[in-house]
Formats: sequence, C-alpha cells, structure tokens
Amino acid sequence: MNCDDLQRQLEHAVENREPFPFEDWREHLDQCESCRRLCADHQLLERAVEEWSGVKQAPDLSEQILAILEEDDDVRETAPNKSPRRSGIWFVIASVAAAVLVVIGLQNRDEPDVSTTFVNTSTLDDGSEEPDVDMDEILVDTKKAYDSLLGRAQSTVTSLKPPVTVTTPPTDVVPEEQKSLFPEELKPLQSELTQSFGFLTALIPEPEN
Amino acid sequence: MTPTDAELVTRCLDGDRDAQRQFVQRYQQMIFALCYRMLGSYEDAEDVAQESLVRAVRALDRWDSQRPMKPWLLTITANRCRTALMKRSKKPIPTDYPLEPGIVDVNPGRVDLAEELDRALETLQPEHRECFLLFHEHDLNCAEVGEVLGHPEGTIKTWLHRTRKKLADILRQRGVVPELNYELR
Repeated sequence: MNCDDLQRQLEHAVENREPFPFEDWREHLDQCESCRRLCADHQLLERAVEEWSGVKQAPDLSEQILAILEEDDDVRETAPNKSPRRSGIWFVIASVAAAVLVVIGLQNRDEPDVSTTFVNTSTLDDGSEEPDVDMDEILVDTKKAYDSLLGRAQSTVTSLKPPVTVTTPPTDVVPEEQKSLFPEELKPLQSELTQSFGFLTALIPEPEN
Repeated sequence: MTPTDAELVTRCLDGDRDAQRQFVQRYQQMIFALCYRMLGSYEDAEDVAQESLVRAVRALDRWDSQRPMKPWLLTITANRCRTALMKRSKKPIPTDYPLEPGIVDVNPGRVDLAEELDRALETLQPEHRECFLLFHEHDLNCAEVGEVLGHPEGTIKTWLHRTRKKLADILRQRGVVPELNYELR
C-alpha cells in the first residue's frame, strides 16, 4: 500500500460518496506526512460541507410564476396567428404549394409545335432575290412616329409649363432650344427618347421638296 | 398519492394550473439553492430562480421523460446563473476577504466552517464552483454533473478533486488546522 494507492482509494470514496477506511491505512499514515495531510483535508472538507449544506429557505415563488405563465397564455390567445409553430406549418404548406405550381407550370408551358406551325415561306429571305420590303419607307414611318411621340411629349411639357411656346417640330435629335422645354422631372424622358430614336435621324433621308 | 414527474409534466402541458403550482413547489427549493450559492445574494437568487422556473415550465415539452428531471432543471438554472453573473459588473469575490497567506488572523476555535466554505467557494472559477455545488449540494453523480456542465465525466472528476484540494488550502489559510481522526470514516 503506497501513496498512489491511498490517493486512488480516497478519490474513489469521494466520487462514490463512500466512507474511507482510515484505520486500515493507519500504518502508512503514521509514516507519511503528505498522505496524512491529504486525509486530514478530506475530513475537514466533509465536515465543512455537512455544516454548510443547509441553505436558506427559498421563498414561495409559485404565485408569481403562475401569474407570469397566465400572462403569457393571455398574449397567445389574443394573437394566435403569431404562434411560431403555426407559422412554421403554414410556411411548409406554402412552400410545397409553390413547388407544385412551378412543376405543373414547367410541364404545361407553351412550346412551338414544329409540325403544325404555318410558315409563309414566300416572305423569307433566302438570299436568292431582293426583299420586297422598302427600307426607306419604314424609316420614314419611324420618323413620323418619332415626331408624333415627341409632339405628345412636348404637349405634356407645355401643359406642365404653360408659358413655353414651341416653334418648329424637331428635325434633329432634340434641338438645343427645345432641351430647355424639359423640366428637371422630365429629364429622364428626354434622355430615353434620345437614346431610343436618336440614331434613326442619321438614317432618314432628307425629304425632297 | 404524489404524482411522478412525468405525470405532473403531462398535466402541466395540458395547462393544468394546479399541476404547474405543484411542479414549482416541488423544485423551487433546489433551484433557489443553486442560485443562492452561485450568486451569493438572496434577492438575485430569487429573481434568477423565478426566471429559471418560468423557462422550465415553458420548455416542459422538450423534457425527455426517459431521463431524470433534476439534471435537466439544474442545467437551465446553471445557464441562467451564468448569464446573471456575466451581467454583473462587480466581481463575485468580496474585497474584504484576504486571500494572501500570512495576513489572516482567524481564531481557529471560532471559525464558522460553513461561512468560511461559502466565502472560499466565491474565489473559485464559476465552472469549478458549479461542479462542487452540483456534486455536494445537489447530490448529482459525476456523470450527471458532466451532463449539466457539458463536460466529460473524467473532466468533472478532475475538477472535483482539484476544487476540494483548493478549498482545503483556503480553509487552512483562514486558520483552520484540521487534525486527522482515525475514528472517522
């Protein structure tokens, strides 16, 4: 029986709340100062724990706790839809429904039926002959549409700012004198018109008088 | 006849107020005791015990009825105590408690062991203090303490013996000179 054995047996006794047989170790303890100290500390701790273990009586918390729990229940009853568990269920249902709709949509989407689509091959340009489309005519029509759009924009502007007078319809992208017709709030419109139709003006042939 | 924990919990979950009251009354002393030891103040212990019990009752549906109630409740309480300790700006060690050896003047014959142990416990790391309290005051075994504190049983055993040695050293510093009594077991 040595110091390690004694320490091991003492620790085992502590861990398992078993008594330690000091008498059995008397011979060793009489000779070993460190083991004697170890055992004396153990006895001291046991005595201290015994004296210390009675703690103050707890107050009765049951009424306060029940009041808090009742308040919680009242809140839940007034706002039943905010229950996180219920929200979770609805989220799952909504997700499944959305997924089903997407799948159905993908399966039934419209795809061109190659076998039945009618194609007028006479209008196709196969490169063997000149197309019968007059590009000049298209450009003139586009310019007319542009003028009409610009005219409408101008009338909108003039209705917003009455003192403005418009002299001639624009022939260029937007004449410098008309740029001032666009108030700050319509600057984006001016910019968009210029970007969309500005390139066309360069292509349009001058009308012959 | 006293209902079992599982029976009581079932009734609590059904919203039975009487069962909730019984549940609180059954465990409030244990929970308050841990809070009081951890926090060292009656008022703080009352607040945290109340908070812990409210949380426990709200979370009863998460309790595994196959396992004992006590470690589960003590886990909740220990967590609340740790949060309360973190919120405290002051350190738990009282400033009037001299820890340096050689400056203590205590008459060994008049030492109140329980009070000295209480004060010595305040000087320990929170985890070691919890370990000691759960083992000695709440009679949990090392495996259960490990479950509450989230550490392996071996670590708990090491902490327990280290803590006991440190406490004995502090008590010696405070002038308590133990003598081995072979008659004790």
